[in-house]
Formats: sequence, structure tokens, C-alpha cells
Amino acid sequence: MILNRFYETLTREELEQLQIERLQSTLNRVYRYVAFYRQAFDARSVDLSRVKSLADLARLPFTTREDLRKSYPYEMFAVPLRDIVRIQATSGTTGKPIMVGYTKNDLRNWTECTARLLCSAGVDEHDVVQIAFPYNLFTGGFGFHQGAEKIGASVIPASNANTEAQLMIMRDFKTSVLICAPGFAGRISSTLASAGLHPENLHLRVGLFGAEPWSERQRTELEEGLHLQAFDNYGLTEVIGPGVAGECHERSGLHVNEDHFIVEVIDPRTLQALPPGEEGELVFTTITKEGFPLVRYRTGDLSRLLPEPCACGRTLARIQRISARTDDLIFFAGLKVFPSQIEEILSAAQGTTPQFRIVLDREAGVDTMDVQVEISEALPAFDELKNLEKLRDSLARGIQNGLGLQAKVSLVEPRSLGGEGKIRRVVDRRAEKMTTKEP
Amino acid sequence: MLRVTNLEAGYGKLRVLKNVSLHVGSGEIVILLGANGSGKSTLLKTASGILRPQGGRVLFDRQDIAGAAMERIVELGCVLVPEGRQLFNPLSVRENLLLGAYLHARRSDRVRESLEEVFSLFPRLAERQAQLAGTLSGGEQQMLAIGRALMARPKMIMMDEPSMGLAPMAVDKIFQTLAQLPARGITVLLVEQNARASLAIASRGYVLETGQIVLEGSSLELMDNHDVRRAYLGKDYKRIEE
Repeated sequence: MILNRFYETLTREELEQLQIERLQSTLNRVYRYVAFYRQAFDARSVDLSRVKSLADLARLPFTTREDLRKSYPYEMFAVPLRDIVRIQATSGTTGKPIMVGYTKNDLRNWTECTARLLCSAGVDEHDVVQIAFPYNLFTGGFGFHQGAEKIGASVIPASNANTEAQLMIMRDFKTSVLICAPGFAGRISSTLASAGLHPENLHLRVGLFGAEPWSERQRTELEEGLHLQAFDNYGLTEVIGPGVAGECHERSGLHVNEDHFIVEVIDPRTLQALPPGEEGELVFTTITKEGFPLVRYRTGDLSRLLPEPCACGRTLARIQRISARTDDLIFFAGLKVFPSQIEEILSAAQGTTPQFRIVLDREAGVDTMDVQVEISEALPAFDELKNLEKLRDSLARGIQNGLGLQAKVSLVEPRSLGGEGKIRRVVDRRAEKMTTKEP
Repeated sequence: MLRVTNLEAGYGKLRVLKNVSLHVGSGEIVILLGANGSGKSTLLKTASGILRPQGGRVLFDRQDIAGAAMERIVELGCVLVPEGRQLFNPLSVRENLLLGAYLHARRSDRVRESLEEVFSLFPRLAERQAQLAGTLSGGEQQMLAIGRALMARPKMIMMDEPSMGLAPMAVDKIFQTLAQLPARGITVLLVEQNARASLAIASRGYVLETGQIVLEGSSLELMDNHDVRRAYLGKDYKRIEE
């Protein structure tokens, strides 16, 4: 099903006309209203009146996560705060988060974008949609909620209720569509058996999973474990939240809502645009956003453009499912964490920066994080067991309080992680693990 | 129907339009909003052949009309209703209308058909066929100006401030009629300062500011945009601001 046949099936020529119009007006606005962009354009002597085609985007400077972080709280907003009707933020960051603002029109467009994803996954007004993304500063909950309501589905904002409560609602309200992070879906799936339930006791038929990269193997596991058809979707708070791109029934790539976002794929080293088909970093320019417009935002996500037309009839370009990151960002339990953020907490607690390693694993479908920290001889009384236990607990608490994630902390022998600079900071074993399934 | 890309236009060394891109789809009513001096009229003058563009493309029905002669643009089906109506005051209503049909003058059946069509849209003009244009009220004169444009059997009409100088009742009447044009196969590009009346009938719109497009969106989106509200809908924002 196609929600907005007009915009989702434009010819390339019509779409490009729309994109250039919207790009030009966005550039004119950010130059007028966002000091960061005025300075960035002026510093590079960018003459906006010479941006005459989409290829001219390449002349514009990039926007990075760091730029947004520095702009806290609302330096990047292109409208006065009173025109903003919603504030959200990126998840799982220490210190100052990236705060984004939406105008009334931005919310409407965001709603349209997530509604399109739901529609293309076959969700309609007969469905009971359970949204198990947290409803807070994170965009997942609200983003899909609005879209599901627009479609007319019965929406259950289950938010971050625990898996047992999710399952109870799911069974008793005959939930047909589950929307959450794939990791959480895995947890629900593995809780089924212990709750004495079989997937046939549920009424799930569609799952929309996103907010963290996941594999085809996980897709198969979730489909078998929950008896549903699983769809991938892509989005990020900085760009709008969920709704940037999503899979149609063909499930071979995610259609980008190109009437709202221009997608580029660049080589993260040379920063040059790559031709369709080649893998590189995804870069987005928003062309309808009023509150928080972004020009050439570097996502750090690796993917490639799939140039072939899609059998579903949409003419919107597709990107391949996200394969990896350009940096060491960790997706864990619906949160995004950089190892450097864990490092900050460890060094704040100990006064020095210890050697450490983050081991990600999956046990019975549940993601686990083990932060292995080398104990240091420099620590006073480091050989007293009681002190070490205290240290371990305080580190775990620090990670919980600072980043909101539950990690196990293990203290390991000095130099057991390897020499200076040789440590593999993150070991991710999750992709190799299958969830244990009941026979 | 109309596709403008990277249009540059102005007078002598003065560049009024800077890299303007917009389009009007078949059967749409599109509004171009902007303050005085933002370049709205310059855009219509350029699209209708009065002014030669200094750069960029203007496609009408897939044909390049940038810098084409006015007559050719009219022949292709794109007609301008100029600001201030520009009627022939000493001539009658009927004579003014017939002048608009000069392209079809040899096909009297067509001219009659067009005339009937105009009269059905504006019964008032039928009643006053013989009256001199100069003696009509402002609203009637505007009807006549639109009627005359329709006599050329256009695919699209472009209008420069049809509500200018009219009483609110007359404005309503004009806009009600404009709203019927898409159903009759006529696409409309409207330049207006009366945002409220024009957004009510338009499907989409653009906001022009010092020669650059700063906003594009559906009428609903434009109505909900605070800058548009402050600038064109006269909502009482001053009190909140200061």
C-alpha cells in the first residue's frame, strides 16, 4: 500500500524539480536565520544563488554531530523558540545532548513520514499497534505514535514497560503490529516461553523494527519467534527521527522519503560523493524542515544507494540496510553510546583513565554489555577485595546514572587486556548469536 | 504545466529575482506570496514574456518560453491578467472581451463559445455587455479583466493581485470564481498580498523574500507557518513580541 501516491511515485524529473525548489528555499532560510550556516557558507564563499542543481550540493559544507553538540541548546534552530511546538533529543549521551525542535508543520511532515512507513508495511486502520519505544526525549515513541494515529490504527503507547507487561497487553488486546528496537523484540520473543506463551497465542502479523542496526539473521529469528513479518526502518533524531526511510513489501532496501530529505552517499575519507551502488557514509539534507533544518548532515552510518527501480511502484530511491558505522558508536538496548562516554565515566570515578574493553553479547535473546576494566596498581589498596567490589559497583552505578544503560562491570588483571593502544575497544558478539528457541 | 528553474531577472543592473525555482502543476492553484518589492510581479512579467530573463529556464507545457515573445506565450496557452486590470475603458464590456479572443478571431463559433463560458462564470458581465468598461465598479472591472484573459482559451492564467483595491465582498466573489477554474481545465498562478483569501483556494504556495524563495508548502502548511502568519495574515503578533 502506498499512503501518498502523488509524492511517492513522482517521476525523477518531477522529484528533482521539487527537491531543487525545496533545497533552494531551505538554503535561503538557513542563511538568513541560522548563524552557524551563515558563517559556514560565508567562510567558504558559498554563493547560494549558484546552487542551481542537486549536483551543486557538493559545494556546500557538511554538518557534523560535533557542530550540533556545540550548538546546544538551540543555536541551530531556524525559528524563534515560540514557533516550536515540540522538543526532542538524541538518546544516550553524556553531558549536553543534541536538542531538536519541531514546528507545527514539522510535526505534520514527520507524522506523514512515519505513516508512510507503516502503510508500506501493510499497517492500516484495522490494526492494533503496540509501540514499545520509550516515550520521552527519544524520538521513537512519539514519531511512530503520530503516524499510527494518522493511519487510524488503534495505538497502544506501551513505551518502556517491561517485557512481561508488554506481553500481557499484546495478548489481551490482540496486538497485530509491534514497533520497537530489534533488540527489545528479541527480548520479548525470548520471554514468550517463560511466560508460558506460544507465538500462536499472540496475534502479531507485522513488526517495524529500527533505531539500531540489525541483521537478516535477526530478522529470521524475530519472524520465527514472534510469527510476524519484520520490516526495517531508518531514521535519526537529528534529521527528524524515525521516518527517514523504510522498507516496502519487497524488503530489498529502504525507500528514502526524498521529497523531505535529500540523500547522498560520500566516501568518509575523501568526503567526495560516491556514485550510486557504492558503499559510503549516508549524508542527509532536510528540505522541508522549518525548526531544525540540516544541510549535508553526516550520519556516520554506512550504506549504499540502490539505483534499480523497485517493484512496489514507489519511485523514491532506496538505501541498503545499514551495514556498519564510520565510528565506534554502539547501539545497545535502544540507546546509542560512544566508548568515549564510558571512558569519561571510568576516568571520573578513578581519577585516571583505565584500560577497558566493552564486550557486547546476546544471551537468550537479550543484549548484554560487559565493561571489562583493568585494575591499576596505582589505586590505593587495589589488592583488597572489598575495595575492588566497591569500585566495581560504583562504576556500574556511574554507567547506569550517566548513560541510563545497565552494564555489567568486571575488573580484570592489570595488562590483561593487552598493551597501550592495542586494545580492541569494542567486541561485539551479538551478530554471531542466535536466540535460543523453544523446540 | 509551468516549471521555472533558477530564474534570474531584473531591470538593467538591478537583479530582482535571484535563482528562483518554482512549478505549477496542471489543475493547481498556486499562490506566490511576498511583500512589496519582493519580486512577485517581476516573476509574472518574466514568465509572460514582458521581461527577458537574465538567466534560468521557464518551461510551459514542456516548451522553453524564457525570453519568448508575449504573443507566442499566449498562443501556447499562458495568459497574464495584469495588475491594475488594464482595460480599454472607452470600449464596452463585450468589446473588451472580444479583444481577448483575437487569437481565435477567425473562428467565430469558438469565440461565441468562450463568450458564453465567461458569461456563465460571471453573469454580471452578461448583464452589462453593452456598458463601457470605464463605468464598471472595481469588482466588475476585475471580472472583466479575468474574463478577457479567459477569452484566449488559456491552459493557465497568471494573475497579479486581483484583489487589489477591491471591497471585501468583491474579493470574495472573485476568489470564488477563481476556485472554479481548475474544474474547467485552467491552471492558476496567483500573486497576492491577500494571503487569507488566496490560501483558502490555493493548493500550494511559495513565499518570495527579496527575490529569493524562502518557503514552499501546501496552503495548510503556509497558513500554519508563523512567519507567514506574522507577515501576511495580520494575526496580532506584535503584542506577544514586544
